[in-house]
Amino acid sequence: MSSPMDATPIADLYRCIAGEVRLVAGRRLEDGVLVFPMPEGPEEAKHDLVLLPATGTLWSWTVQRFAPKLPYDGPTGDHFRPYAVAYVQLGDNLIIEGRVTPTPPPSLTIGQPMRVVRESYATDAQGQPIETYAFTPMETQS
Amino acid sequence: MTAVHIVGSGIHQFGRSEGMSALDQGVSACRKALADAGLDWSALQFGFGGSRDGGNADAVMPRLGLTGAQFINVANGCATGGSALLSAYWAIKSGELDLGIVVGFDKHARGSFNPDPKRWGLPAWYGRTGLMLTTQFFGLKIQRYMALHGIDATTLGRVAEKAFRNGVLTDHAWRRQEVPLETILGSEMVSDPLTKFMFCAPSEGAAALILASDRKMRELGLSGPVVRGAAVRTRLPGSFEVFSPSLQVAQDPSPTVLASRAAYEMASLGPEDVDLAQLQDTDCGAEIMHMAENGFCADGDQAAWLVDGQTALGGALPINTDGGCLACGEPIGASGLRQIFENVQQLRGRAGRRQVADARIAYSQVYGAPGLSAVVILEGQS
Repeated sequence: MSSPMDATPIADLYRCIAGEVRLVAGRRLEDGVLVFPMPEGPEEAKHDLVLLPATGTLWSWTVQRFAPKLPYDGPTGDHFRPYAVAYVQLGDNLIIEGRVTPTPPPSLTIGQPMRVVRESYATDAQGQPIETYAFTPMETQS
Repeated sequence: MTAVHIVGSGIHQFGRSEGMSALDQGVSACRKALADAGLDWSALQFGFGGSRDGGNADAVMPRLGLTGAQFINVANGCATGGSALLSAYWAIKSGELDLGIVVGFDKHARGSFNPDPKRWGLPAWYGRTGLMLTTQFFGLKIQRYMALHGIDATTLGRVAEKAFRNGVLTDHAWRRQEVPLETILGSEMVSDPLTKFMFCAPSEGAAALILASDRKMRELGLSGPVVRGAAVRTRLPGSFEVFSPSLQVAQDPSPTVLASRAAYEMASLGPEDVDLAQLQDTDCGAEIMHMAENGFCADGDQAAWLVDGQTALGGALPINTDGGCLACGEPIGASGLRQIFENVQQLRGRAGRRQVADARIAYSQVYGAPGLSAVVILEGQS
């Protein structure tokens, strides 16, 4: 894992189970359609919680080569490092968008196997790391 | 149902207008459209208008005349201009109204847009972690399309090369210098596979059009292209759209495909009947995908089309004859109306050095977040 244990998750987006990171999706009760993230508020009750597979295949990718404006709260200016963004198919029905680790971006090819990991992408006002989910090529996993 | 004609058109220079607010530019475009039709503001029964960053479009009224006419502000992302035109078209076609104006204007800060996730019904983390950028979406979408359909980076570059070449010939364009293909391909990468010159930039500008019923047009002794087909459509559950934390594996046709089919059907025309087209080209990838989504070619044929110059001026189907968003920039409220302004100039034989010979059917398509498309098909009146 690329995150220290004391990092604060940015939101309730994933569970760490048996050394794997599993994204939390919702399955709509009405028709079984999957959606990520799990809806909040009144919509939440209309969905079952589903944990997505921890691995999948790269569906598309790009690289964010300039620092985004707010509400992005990761490193900017001299601290900014380009990061890849990918869509990864997890399971038969759903494709998830996320950041890719490590930076600088690894070489990516559509169809290659990817794994869900945790990534500290920013630090809060107290200097505490903020953590989100990310994808990483499976070859780079030790 | 009555036919709907565009009897007046006006544009305020796209790019940067120092010392002029977006509203000033909108008023300027309205005055030009009125002068073009030889009409007074007081003759108009209604207006529809939109602006993203330039304030309320109905703020043109105190400047042009508080006549008591109805005016409705339209907000539909990048498709705002197209949606304003559709609203006016429906108002006249229904028989309720006879004569009105549509206007769009904008003035954006430099650099990328920074949308607020909450306004899009998305969670805050999506914006905070740096996933909510239109530029990323454009890169992600064309990257997948290129892999599926064998399009290469040189093909992307040729789209921009053509846009800047057309911009040289266009008074209202922002970028008016040719850029060599090697410079386009070698410029700074922004969101792979798209380089700096393959993206349009937020800019400034305004456009206005005056629409009339067939009866009113004749009564006033005016003329202008007729709207043969016009449709706006939104996304289906399985379409690949901007600002999507997740997508369905089972893909649906895009809203552009839906709007295009509806407009062709309304017009009783097909892509083979079209003489020139303005297609949403926020980036080179968008123009390539929109060539296929609007029915002009099969997926993957774009590479050969561009090598052969089919979409250049003088080709079989000139696309983005005024340089499109790539050369004009994208003032969101005005951009869709610029496309139609350009088609009107082409159909009236006023396009000067970029005139498409014998243009009769002109097509325009504008795409907006979070997944809608507006298509308008015009026929010139000989």
